[in-house]
Amino acid sequence: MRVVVARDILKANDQLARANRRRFDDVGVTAVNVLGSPGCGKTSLIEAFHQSWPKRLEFGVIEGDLATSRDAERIERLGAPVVQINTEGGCHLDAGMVSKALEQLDLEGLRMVFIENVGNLVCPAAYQLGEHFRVAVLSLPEGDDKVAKYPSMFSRVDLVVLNKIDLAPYLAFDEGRVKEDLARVSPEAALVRVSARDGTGVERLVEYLLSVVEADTKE
Amino acid sequence: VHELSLVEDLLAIAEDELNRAGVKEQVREVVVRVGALSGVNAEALKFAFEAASPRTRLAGAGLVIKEIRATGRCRHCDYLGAIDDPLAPCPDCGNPSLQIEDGRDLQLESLEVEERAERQHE
Repeated sequence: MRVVVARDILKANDQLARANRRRFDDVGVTAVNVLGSPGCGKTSLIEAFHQSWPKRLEFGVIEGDLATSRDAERIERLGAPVVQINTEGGCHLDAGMVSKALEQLDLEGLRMVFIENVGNLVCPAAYQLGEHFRVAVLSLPEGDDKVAKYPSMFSRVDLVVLNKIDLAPYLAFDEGRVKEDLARVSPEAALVRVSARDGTGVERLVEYLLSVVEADTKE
Repeated sequence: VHELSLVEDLLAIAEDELNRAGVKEQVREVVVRVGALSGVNAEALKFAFEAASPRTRLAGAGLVIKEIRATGRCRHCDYLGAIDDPLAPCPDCGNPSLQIEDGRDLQLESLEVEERAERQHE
């Protein structure tokens, strides 16, 4: 006997992601999934971002890592509400983990939540978390071929943040190549150049995300 | 990618569907559709299935993997067809404007269940 199933294996995750999304929508919070390699500067970017982000629009952070609460401690020092998820070896965050984290994060009074994913350019791309917006952070030392080499990641992002641009004089990184590849895999994605370290471009990033939060409010 | 956690999800979905269909028997064959752009490696999926399926109703079942080719649509000339490389230019008009249409999915298609033992009474 044949039992016809025809069910998408990632569907269970998608359903939980939709529930997370409703939770964010109910309280008017814009959720941003932050993706990128280990060491590309995801946490540093959130720290730099915090300085320029308007204080009236508070944001919270969900930190995803295999182990340690080091990133959460860094966010805590900013005074922002934060919850750490340890995946215990897992290569990505899934919607269920975010749902559990949301039990510990008081969304009341927040306007935005950053969900910092596990550093990885492969697996996190396949998992919706309930976010409104996806940001991929790509740092110059990683090389200018990453968009082409990881199309499943870069074809599903709304914004690419090119980080560590202060290192450009020391590296043979061709930004034109990134733009060209991005135009192919993700023509609608925006590109912002920043240095989380010296603050270059962070204002533009803040402006950009403010426009996202406002557009989200109007919907 | 994370084939082991995908197999765990697959086993949970299979269990759910078997219960819903009121099936009590062991599963003999599992058919899974794997899109060329799903990021799932067929060999790793088989390995993960062998590792995770014992002590479930899918223990010992054959895993049939149907590889699904990727298809793309050209934003420029509206070409719709099979693609090998999502970054390649459109095979029709040559513009770098292919959009992935299909081939990202990973789907549990069907479960072949062992026949009931009724025939033993014949």
